[in-house]
Amino acid sequence: MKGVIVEVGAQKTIVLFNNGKLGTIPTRSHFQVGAVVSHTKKSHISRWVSVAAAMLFVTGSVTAYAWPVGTVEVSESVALTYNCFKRVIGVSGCHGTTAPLNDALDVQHHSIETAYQRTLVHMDKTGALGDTVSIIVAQDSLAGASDMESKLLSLSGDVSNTLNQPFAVHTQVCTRAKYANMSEIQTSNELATPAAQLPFATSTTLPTQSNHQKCQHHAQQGHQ
Amino acid sequence: MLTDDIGALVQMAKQDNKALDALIDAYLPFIKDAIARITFKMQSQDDCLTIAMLAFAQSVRTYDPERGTFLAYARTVIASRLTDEARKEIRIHTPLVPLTTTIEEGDIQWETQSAIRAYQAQDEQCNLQYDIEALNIQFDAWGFDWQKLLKRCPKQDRSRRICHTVAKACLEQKELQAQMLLRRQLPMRDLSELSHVPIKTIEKYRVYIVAIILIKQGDYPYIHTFLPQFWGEEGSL
Repeated sequence: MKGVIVEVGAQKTIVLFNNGKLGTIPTRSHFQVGAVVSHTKKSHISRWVSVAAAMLFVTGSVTAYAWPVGTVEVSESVALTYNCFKRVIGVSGCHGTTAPLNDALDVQHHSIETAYQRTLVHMDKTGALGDTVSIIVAQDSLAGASDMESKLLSLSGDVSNTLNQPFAVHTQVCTRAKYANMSEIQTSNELATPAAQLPFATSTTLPTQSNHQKCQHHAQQGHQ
Repeated sequence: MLTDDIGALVQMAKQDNKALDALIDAYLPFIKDAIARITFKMQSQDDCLTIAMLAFAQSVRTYDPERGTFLAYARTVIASRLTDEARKEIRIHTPLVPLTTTIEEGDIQWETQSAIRAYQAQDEQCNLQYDIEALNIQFDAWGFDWQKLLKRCPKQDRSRRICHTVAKACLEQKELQAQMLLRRQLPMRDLSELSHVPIKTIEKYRVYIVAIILIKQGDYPYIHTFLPQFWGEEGSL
């Protein structure tokens, strides 16, 4: 659309377009009154497409961030749920210890590696870090879970050196579906068994390894 | 008025802007016909008409009676100008840089043509500038400026058409027009009756309607080319 510049302002220039409309365009240094300019108007469709694309991008990003892809369970007491960016999006403890755990660890939105390190350090501080640390890495893809497992093993070595306290690490890799089944069994077992010592300073308790195994055994028998 | 005394009219229009304005108005169908024969896809009809009207004004200034009839000359100027504009739009993002260093006759011709085009563009800009400066004085006398006009300008194409209808009604009634210019007041009631447009609408776009009337009735042939001519409509101004 052609137009003639009728007034040049500091920021905006007024243009009389050949459809009879007066409009403004951003002022440029070479603009003079009487100069003929061509102006291409952006169509409404392209504007809406841009807005829709931006909204889709934002929604997609938020969804991707909030979507859990894996869980790392440390010593059957704390489960760190992470997203595809390997950021912790959820911390849950057994027996309703989630809120105290969140406050104590402060790992929300940190990388899973940092969260794991902090968990081990916290366990050491509270005296819950024994000779053995058991880790369950649950992820949809087993290959990804294996990668995470090797990372955590390497980090465990670093933490052990830093804390100057040697401990053995038992790892288990599984899919998230299998992990969900295991958790259900564990929960039903915990409701039936008496409380044991919890590594974190909370009133709730955590079942021991033997209880858990026993529970699994009972559950299998029940199914049979 | 058409072809009989065209030579005399062109000579008069060379000296007088009002005559030039009248000539452009009278030959608007001819200009539209010239565009219809050579319209490029990338140019909109409004753009073509603006360019063609400016080219027509240029042809009036540069016409030499010894070299043939005016209308043939004007048609050639309009066609050349439209072709130039189309080429310019194609080349706008890919400027051609000549790689040859030797000066040949073709190069000189190209440079001359470029210089002429630059001069014509500058000349056209000067003419538009004079028109705008003169209009600014008129607007000032009526108590508004381009800023106010920008705020009161109708956004919808339909509203602008209505404003042009009202302005046309005023321009067709010479007495009403004279009365308006004398009192510096838009006779809204009379215009409403003439154009069958509600007074409220006329009141809303009063400044814009006044601006159209001032441009149309005054000696502003160049700025006039930027007012919509409502392509193919009988009621065009």
